[in-house]
This record gives sequence, C-alpha cells and structure tokens, in this order.
Amino acid sequence: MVRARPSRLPVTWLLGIGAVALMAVVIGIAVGPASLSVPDILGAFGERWLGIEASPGLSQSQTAILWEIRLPRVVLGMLVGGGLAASGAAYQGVFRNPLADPFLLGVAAGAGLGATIGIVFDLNRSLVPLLAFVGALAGVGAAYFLGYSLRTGRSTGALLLAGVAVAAFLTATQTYLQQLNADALREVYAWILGRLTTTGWYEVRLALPYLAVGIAVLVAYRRTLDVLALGDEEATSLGVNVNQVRTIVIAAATLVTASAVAVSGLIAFVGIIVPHILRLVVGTSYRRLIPLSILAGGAFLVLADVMARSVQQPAELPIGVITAFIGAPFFVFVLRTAGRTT
Amino acid sequence: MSLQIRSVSVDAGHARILENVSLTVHAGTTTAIVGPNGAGKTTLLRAILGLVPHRGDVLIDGRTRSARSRARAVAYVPQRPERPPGMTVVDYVSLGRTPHLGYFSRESDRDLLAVREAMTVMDLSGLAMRDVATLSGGEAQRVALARAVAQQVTILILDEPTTGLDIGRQQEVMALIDGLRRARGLTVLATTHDLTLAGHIAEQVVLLSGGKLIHHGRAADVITPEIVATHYGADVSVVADEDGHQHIVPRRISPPKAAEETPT
Repeated sequence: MVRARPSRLPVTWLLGIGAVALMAVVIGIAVGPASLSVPDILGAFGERWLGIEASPGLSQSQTAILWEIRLPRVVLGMLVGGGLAASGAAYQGVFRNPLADPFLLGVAAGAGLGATIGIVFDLNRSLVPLLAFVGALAGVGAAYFLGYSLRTGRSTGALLLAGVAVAAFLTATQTYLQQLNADALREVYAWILGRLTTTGWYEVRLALPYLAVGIAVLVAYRRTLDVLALGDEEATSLGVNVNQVRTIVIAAATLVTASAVAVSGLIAFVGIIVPHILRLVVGTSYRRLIPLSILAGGAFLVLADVMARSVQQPAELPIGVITAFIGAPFFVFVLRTAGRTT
Repeated sequence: MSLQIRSVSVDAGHARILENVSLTVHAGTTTAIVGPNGAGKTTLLRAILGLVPHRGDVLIDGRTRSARSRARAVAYVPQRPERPPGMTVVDYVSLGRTPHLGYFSRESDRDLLAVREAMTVMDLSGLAMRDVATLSGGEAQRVALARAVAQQVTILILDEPTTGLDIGRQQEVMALIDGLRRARGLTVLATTHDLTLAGHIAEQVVLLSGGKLIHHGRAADVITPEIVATHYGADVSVVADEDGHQHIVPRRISPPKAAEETPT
C-alpha cells in the first residue's frame, strides 16, 4: 500500500512559524524610542493574563506604552500582514496565477480610491473601510472583466495588464481627488505610503471583524483552492461550483485586503512575498499555504514595522517603503521562476 | 450504473455542434465513440458531464443529477488533464475525493484509504511525492486514472485516453481501464481515433459525424471500409485476425483526393 498522505497542515511548520511570529511580537513590543526589556514585557504579560505577581519591572508610563501603544500596533501588524498574505495566496489560487496580488489587480488602488473619498470628503471615519471595500470590489471586478474580455483567455499576461490599467486609472482618479482638497493631502499621502500607526485599540477594533470573517472564509476554502488548480472543467467534473467558489473567495480576499488597506494604507508586496517563500518550503498546496500565510505574513509585517521605526530614528519610515524595497526585487525573482515552471 | 442520453443537442453561437444524439450505455459495458475530427465527440462527453449547456436529458441510472451527485457517479479523464506545477501525485489523487467531502471538510480515514487504494491499483507507490508536472505521458495518464478511481464512481468517461502515448503505454493504459471495468463493474465511455482499439475494447461502437450519431452497434457493423471512406475520407482495409478481432489498416499513406490533384 502507498503510505504517503495528502497535504495537511504540518505541525512542525505551524509550530516553527508560530514561534517566529511570537518572537516578532516580542521584538515589535520591545523596540522603540523608549525601549522595553524582554523580561519586563514577559513579566507584564504574565501579570495581566496569568495573574503572576511580577517584581515591578515596568514604570507606569512604560506600562501604558506597552498596552496602549506597542501592543495595539503589533496586533494590528499581525492582523494586516496575515490578512494581506492570506488574501494574496487566495487570489493566486483563484486566478491560477502566481503573480496575482491585491496590488497588481486593481484591488488596492480601488480600496485606495474608496478610502481617499472618505478622507477627502471628511466622512465618518468608520465608513472608510466600507468605502475601501466597495472601491476594492470595483477594482478587482474591472480587472477581471477586462482581462477576460481581452479574449486571450485568462492568461497571466492579459489579467495582469488589465490590472495594471485599472490600477493606473483608479490611482489617477484618487490623485485628482486628493489634489482637490489640500487640507487632506497630508493625511492621504501618509496613508498611501502605508503605515501602522495606531490610536490605542481603535484601528484594531475597526478592522478586526472584517479581517476575521474574511480570513475565516479563506481558511475554510483552502482545499477547494487546490481543486481549482485543475482548471474549471475538471473542477466542475469533481462537483465544485467553480463560479460560486470563485465569487466567494474573491469577495472574502477583497474584504480582507480592503479592511487592511483602510486601517494601514497601501502596504504592497506582502501578498506576493510571503506565499511565495512559503511555497518554496512547504509546497504549493493551499491546504498549507493559507493557514501558514496568516502567521508568516503577520510576522513579516511586524518585523518590517520594526525596521521602519528603527532605520531613521526618531523619524519613522512608511512601512510600505520597507515592504516595497524588499518586495520589488523579490517580484523579479518570482517572475523568473514562474517563467520557468509554467 | 447505466447512462442514457436522450436527444442531446449543443449549440455554440449559431453553429450546431451536436444534433439530437440519443444513446444508451449499459451498466458494466464499454462504449467507444469514434468519428473524424470535429465530429462532436468531446462535446458529447462534455454535455454528459454538464460542462456545456445543452438541450435534452442525460440520465444516470434513470435520473438527472445535480453537479455534485453526478460527480459521485461519473469520473472524467480529459484528453490532457491539467497538471498544476508543484502539486504532488498524492495530493492530485486525493482531489478525486472532492465530491464526497464538504467544501470545508478535510479527508477522513475512509477518504485516505480510497486514495491509497487508488494509488496502489495504478502502481503509483514510487511516485507519491513527485510533482505531477514532471511526469511522463504514461505516468500522467495513470495518475489521472488513479484520481478517477479515488472518486469511487461507477461510470468512467475518457477523452482519447491513448492519444500521445507510445504503443506500449497505450496497451498498458487500456489494460488498466479494462481491468478497472472488470474488477469494479464500471461503465466506460471513451472517445478514440484508434478504430482498431475501439473494436477491441468496446461492446458498442458509436460513430459521430458532423454532430450527428450516424451508426451504433457492434464494431464489425460500424467500422467497415465503406463507412470509414464516407466519414473519414480514408481508404482502409478491415482485416480479421484468428481471434475474430478486426484490424483497420490504411491502404495507402496519402489521402485518395490528394493523389488526383494536379500540382499548382
């Protein structure tokens, strides 16, 4: 009998990447203008969550920094990074295209336009994620429709070119809107470059429900994404309602991207770097990629944020600069390997 | 399970690809669909599988089925199965369990058993962790068949299962398909361009031409030099061997019309 088993979530990798994520969280909390020592951080956690009385390691202001500034920021980084990575992997599965990425498909540009409308017209800030979502859906819809109607099939080139065209158009509209209102310029600009700034737990609370629902859907559909890799006909012959699955997964991935963009701006390349590095180590099955992308994406973004905060102290670099700096060369690398295997 | 096709027509735009085709495939038998290129063979298979919109009915064991229910009864091996780069053979075979699983659930022990058994039957033990994109043509066909076996269906639909294989692999694949049919009582429906093969494997041979069902019946009645000349424009002899199998042999290499044409 054959002993090999189909892909499942490998416990070793889950624990390994989980440990890296935990380390990233601790580093993310420790590093900053007022540095906190790791034992003190662990002590404070132990006291708050496990009820262990620790020797008073942190001063009152340090405690406030930990719970109200550093921790929310790190949690937001984990959520946004994990969401962007998982939705990137999901787009790659749905479009059967290793280069599909929220930022190449018009999703992010659409979300950007939606959020800019919210900021420029000074609407209620809690509407911003919703506007970003509508814009994102319009962006991915336009890219997909355009790529499909170009009639070169759903080839890699047609879809990506359509995405580039849609993104350029939406970005132009967004730039026009932001120029109309000079007061909002600074806010919009800071937002476009991507940043993980938090005001207490506000951003986490705002994005968490959307991210949790979207990510849960992506995790639920991980095996079905493997079936979609067989193409529409074979997937249909296996009883999968391809159009329904595609619609649900795109909607979920778009919801995740849009809510991430709404609270942290345009942080590019996470959705492409993280799933690809994971593919190299755990294989191409989405049964593994989706869950592991969440942890690895979170860890990656938290560490990128640490870099963004440390490089130019006391000033902060926009985190999008860091991810693009790493991501753009990586994208070329992916293009080269994708060209060889597909 | 038996398969009944009743007055199935398929249109693509204004062109009619399949016209009013009716056909019964009895449980546990093999039917070969033959016909020239563009006759509508693959379209008929796709209509049966619900992959193209069609008129008429496809009855599996006497009733029409939802997509999921059909996928538990009918497995499909296309002419060139998709082989996603990076997917391992065992993952690929396990996808055959899809119609037996919920969208969200993962394989149970029973599913894993079906996957292992399918791989054993198709002799894939040594290939389990290979990337499906790197397999040879014969291996790929065995892997595709293993996925169909893991699907645990009663009807197997194959689109030109031997095309592109060397003669040894052709015989190997056909022996595997026939073995499956005998061992599991499968109903097999396959298209083929190999008229000799069609006669060897099939109780029933169906000739499609121009989207219409022209003849059906025993190979000896359907595959005659006259019918082959009319529908394929080919000049062939039909030679019977000592076992009573008929062999279709081309009588010349160039087509009859080309010989008469004057060079321009």
